[in-house]
Amino acid sequence: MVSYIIRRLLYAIPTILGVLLITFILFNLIPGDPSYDIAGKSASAETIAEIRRELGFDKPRFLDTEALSQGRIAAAFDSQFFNHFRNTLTLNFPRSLTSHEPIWDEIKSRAPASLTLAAPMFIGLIATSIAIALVVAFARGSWVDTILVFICVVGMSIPMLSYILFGQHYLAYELGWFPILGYESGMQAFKYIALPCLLGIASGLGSYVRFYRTVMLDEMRSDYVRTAFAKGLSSPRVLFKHVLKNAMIPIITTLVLSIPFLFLGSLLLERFFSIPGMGSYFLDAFNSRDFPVINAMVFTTSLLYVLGQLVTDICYALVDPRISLR
Amino acid sequence: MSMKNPLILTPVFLLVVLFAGCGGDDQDQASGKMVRYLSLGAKVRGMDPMDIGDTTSSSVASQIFESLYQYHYLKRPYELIPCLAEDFPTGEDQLTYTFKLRPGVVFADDPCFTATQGKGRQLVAADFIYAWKRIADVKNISKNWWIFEDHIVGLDEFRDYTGRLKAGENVDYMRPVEGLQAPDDFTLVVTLKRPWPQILYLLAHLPTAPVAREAVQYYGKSIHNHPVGTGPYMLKDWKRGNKIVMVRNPRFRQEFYPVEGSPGDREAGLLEDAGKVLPFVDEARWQVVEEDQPRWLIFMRGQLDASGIPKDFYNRAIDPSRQLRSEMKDKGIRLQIFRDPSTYWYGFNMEDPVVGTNKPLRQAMSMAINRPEYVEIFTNNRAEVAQGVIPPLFKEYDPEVINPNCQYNPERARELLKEAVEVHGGPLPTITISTPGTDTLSRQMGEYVTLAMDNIGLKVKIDYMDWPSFQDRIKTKSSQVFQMGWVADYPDPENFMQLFYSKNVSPGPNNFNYRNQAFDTLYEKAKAMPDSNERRRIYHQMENIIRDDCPAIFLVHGVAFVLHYNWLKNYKPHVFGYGLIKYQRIDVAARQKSVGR
Amino acid sequence: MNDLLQIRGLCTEFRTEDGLVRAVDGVSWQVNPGRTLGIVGESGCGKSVSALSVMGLIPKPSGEIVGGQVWFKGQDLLKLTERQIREIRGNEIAMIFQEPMTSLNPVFTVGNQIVEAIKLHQKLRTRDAWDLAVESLQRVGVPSAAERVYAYPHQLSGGMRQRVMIAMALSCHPAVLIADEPTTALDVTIQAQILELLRRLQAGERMALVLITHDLAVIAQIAHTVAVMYASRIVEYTSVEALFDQPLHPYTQGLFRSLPRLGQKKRRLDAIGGTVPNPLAFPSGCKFHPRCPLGCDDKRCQSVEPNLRLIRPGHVLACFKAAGYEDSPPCDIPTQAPTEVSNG
Ligand SMILES: Nc1ncnc2c1ncn2[C@@H]1O[C@H](COP(=O)(O)OP(=O)(O)O)[C@@H](O)[C@H]1O
Ligand SMILES: [Mg+2]
Repeated sequence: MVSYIIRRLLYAIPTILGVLLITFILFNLIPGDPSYDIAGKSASAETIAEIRRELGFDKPRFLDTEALSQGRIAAAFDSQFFNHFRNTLTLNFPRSLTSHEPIWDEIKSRAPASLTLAAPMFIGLIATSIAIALVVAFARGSWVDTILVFICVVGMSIPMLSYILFGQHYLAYELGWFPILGYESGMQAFKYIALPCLLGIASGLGSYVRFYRTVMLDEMRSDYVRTAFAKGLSSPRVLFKHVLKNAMIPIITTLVLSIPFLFLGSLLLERFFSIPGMGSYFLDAFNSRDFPVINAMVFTTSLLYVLGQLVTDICYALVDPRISLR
Repeated sequence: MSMKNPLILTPVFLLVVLFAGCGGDDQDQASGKMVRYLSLGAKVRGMDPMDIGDTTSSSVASQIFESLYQYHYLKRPYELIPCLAEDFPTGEDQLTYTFKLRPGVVFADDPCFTATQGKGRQLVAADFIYAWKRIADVKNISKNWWIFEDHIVGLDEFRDYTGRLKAGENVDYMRPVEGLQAPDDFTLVVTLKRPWPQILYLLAHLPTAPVAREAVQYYGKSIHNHPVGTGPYMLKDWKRGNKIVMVRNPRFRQEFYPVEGSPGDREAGLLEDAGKVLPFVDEARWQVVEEDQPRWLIFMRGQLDASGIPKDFYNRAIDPSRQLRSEMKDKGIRLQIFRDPSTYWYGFNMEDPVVGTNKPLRQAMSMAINRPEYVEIFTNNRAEVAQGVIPPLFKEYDPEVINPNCQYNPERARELLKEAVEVHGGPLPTITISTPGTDTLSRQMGEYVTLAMDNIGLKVKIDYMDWPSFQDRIKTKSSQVFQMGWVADYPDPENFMQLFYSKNVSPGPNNFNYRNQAFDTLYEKAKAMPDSNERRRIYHQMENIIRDDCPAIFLVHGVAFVLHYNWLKNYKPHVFGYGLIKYQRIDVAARQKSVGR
Repeated sequence: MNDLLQIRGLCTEFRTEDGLVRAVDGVSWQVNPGRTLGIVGESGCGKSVSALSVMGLIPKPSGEIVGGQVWFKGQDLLKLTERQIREIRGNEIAMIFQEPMTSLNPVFTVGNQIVEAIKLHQKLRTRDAWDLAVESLQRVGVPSAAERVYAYPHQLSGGMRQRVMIAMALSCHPAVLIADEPTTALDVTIQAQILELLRRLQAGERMALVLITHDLAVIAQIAHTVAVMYASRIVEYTSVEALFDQPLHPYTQGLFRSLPRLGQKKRRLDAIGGTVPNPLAFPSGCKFHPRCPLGCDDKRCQSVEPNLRLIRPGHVLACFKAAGYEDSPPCDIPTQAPTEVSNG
């Protein structure tokens, strides 16, 4: 198991390096230079040059061939490309270009807000949709199934924004059931995340239920289900014991693939409900080409992704005895 | 893994959510504390005056920091009055200014004042010199160097010195700058290289506020999180992306509400607090709200004291005769309409081989747009048609002038386009317009302009992009036509004219890359002149050159509509001033009555 | 009606996208303690569906039992509620399936799955149930059962899994065991072992066994009576001796021809020409006539479907071409159990 984990982490190295390569290429391809934003609207050429120097944009892109020919090896590799890799891999994230805040500090203060919203939303979404999917699978072919599937399809076709606009206007403003917006940390947070949470669940329910319903129905056609029924087990028993545990495998896959999104938060919900999470941080960073921030977030996300995959494998092994981590 | 978990969780989760939703209301509403509620549409980047370049950060930090001068709160046209300065400066020539500081001004208490166990010390002239040197210090990458550049004797040399330092070497802030002297603690003498009539406007600007050296040294790189100023408020809590809370500075000097104002101010109740000690409000709270709907909803709930009107909600608030709807009036909401010091245009890149050398083409394009219609469609009539670059708010604006290039005239435009083909020496290629925005409104505007140009027989293509990509285009001179605007920093047309000065071409503020010898000569002359009829004449001359040369399709000047509840007292919109919360008062009882309902 | 399990005129239909499929059409048979009924026929003729109908395991809502009765110990199972039939299912009537590889739940230990069946029908403490599970594994010849009880299905061979299935089915000592092609997926030596095991257990328990297979050789080894099914119907029904002595239906004869003979390595799969008819478009008349060496030209065979008739004592047949069919009494439901006849 330990050796398996170590091996998996080793395999992740190329992935991480690939991500770094892609971010480097993107930062060079995406138009927009953060220097202009930092310099302000009446910037002088000299200020911009200083900013570029500070950001290391004046360094050679890949390799300082001149230094190399002179035999100064360390200087030769003092290039944008190698510095990008070196700084990121050593987690040497600088301060944000726009806010001057250390990036880790800001991530540390914002990630909890994102998680406070995303985690209950996510758990709620998964739990509710599995529950509904089980009901639907149990009642397959009946009018309950037909109606629920119809509602799911309708729900899927409504964009998230419409849920938000509606929920905020009617449930929060007109009916006053929830605060319109805001955020506090601690227990107070529940008051504020309740509505965005519900809206997130409502908007995600359609596609999740449909997906899980398919997963459940696929499982229900299995021979072991017939065996279970032949033993004299009741339908709920078969669904909850036999089908659900087998269905956990595809479910775990969707769960873990969603972890990076938990980290990035739900952008729209965070914006509309003024939740100071990672979503708006990322958006702001992108809109001002705050490359160190984007880089830190992309890198952290890909690390989480790699870890998530590891967790998936471990979960698979826990659920499915046929899989062993060797 | 137990199989029952998911189902058990669901009801529990839903219950938690539902109960949580029924939480109580704001506790502060009941306590009788006078709180001013505001919103922030963009993020506050930092509160170090040296580094503040955006209106959002300015509007917040200006409650903490003060400058030598400030705008009179009520008088129009806009007028400066002393703030940290005791009076207006003295000086025989236009090159030396002697400022006397107001005595008894202290910095707010802060742990950075270690020598006095956190008690804020007295403000001295050296604090200004220190703050301005910080702006000059290249290593600080200040957004505000443009304020002082090439004005003060020795300051540019100080900047060069900081630029020459190697990494790791410390800037010596004791290094003298000839043009910045403090003969005693309360006297600041500034010597200029050449006359600079706008100096007082800029010394009313937030970035020129004095900064305590102790704070910069104590907080180091985090100084932007720890504003220590002399103003009426102190930062209490700042959660990035969430909220900012400020409380009254108990050691704020004595300052009084103005005793006179503009005509009509007394009738509007703006002089009810005349002569009273400032500030009134105990606490100011900003809530970050990035989207229009939530901002509008919390305003309608009374959780904001004032708000603009988002486009989508305009018709719910304002009737076709530009009056506030009665439902709104019944809620105690009032409407204020006022002019912005802003101008919006489609600019030409004069270095572009097609549009830059083809005046008939530029004129034709300018005549192709029906500005009154544009105002109606895209601004809900919240704009005025432009005839040039100077907005009507300025006293230099001449309402008599009708610029033929700004009149909708498709026939003449088609004729000009024929000329343009000759000038170009062949059929005109498709013209590309860069637009900073990919939202619906930007696209609708783009389509409108495409149709307008199509109407005179010109093909244009709109390139929609986000702001950084757009800036990249402009600053590297790689756009052809670009959609942009400018909001003046101070009420002197020089602030607009500099946009056409040849020494300011990109990446400087002259994004047109406009070069005109005659204009430059006039600009340099006017720039050194104090306000006079002569100067006003020169500005008119300069504007006429631009009107004719057409480096931009001038479209509109902004008109702002602001709503506020009647419990917000002493509220008068101000387009240049910052740090205005100190004048405002909340009728707490009225708010409670109306929100409680 | 004193048979242990007796089905009468059972009809089961499926609604499919292409139309209605009558998978079982008026099938009747019975089975008694200690006896083995073999049901034989080509794949797709309705053997499994008839067994599943007895168990009440027809997938709903696409499938439906549209007619007939299933008499067990004097009550019609089709009239019971779902709750009542669950008491019988797995308890008094157990079933094992063809696919030992997939019929066990891969994510639970075999012990867990056996214990589940035991605890469902018997009031036992968990410990005792586990002991019983080990015991039942031992009974079906699983070596070192005390350890294997904690094994997951994938850790066992196909033969072992089928033994586990049998152990699970027999853990509650059912009166009837329905084995749906229990050996088809196994290789020959294992097949023989499993059949031997079934026979031994049946004898020990005095259990009624319904053995479904497409292999006459299996029938020969274990069955007492045989029902030959073709295209959703029974076409011949008699004792195993009578059938092997003289098969009367041309289809049965075809099946016999396809048995491997001495000196012949391969089975002659082409012994019956043509293919199994599509249940969505059964041929008119005798459903076997297009493939029948005797009846393909006969107008009557082409237009009228022959009923089952008692062509001689203990031998029921549906074929116009058989000698004496015309004079025999109709015997849609074999009132006289062929087993009795053959033994009596
Ligand atoms: N779930 C089902 N849905 C539709 N048709 C089915 C279903 N199960 C069985 N059938 C049909 O019933 C007929 C008999 O099937 P079955 O009893 O499984 O044959 P076999 O004799 O090989 O066991 C087949 O033609 C098959 O197409
Ligand atoms: Mg079958």
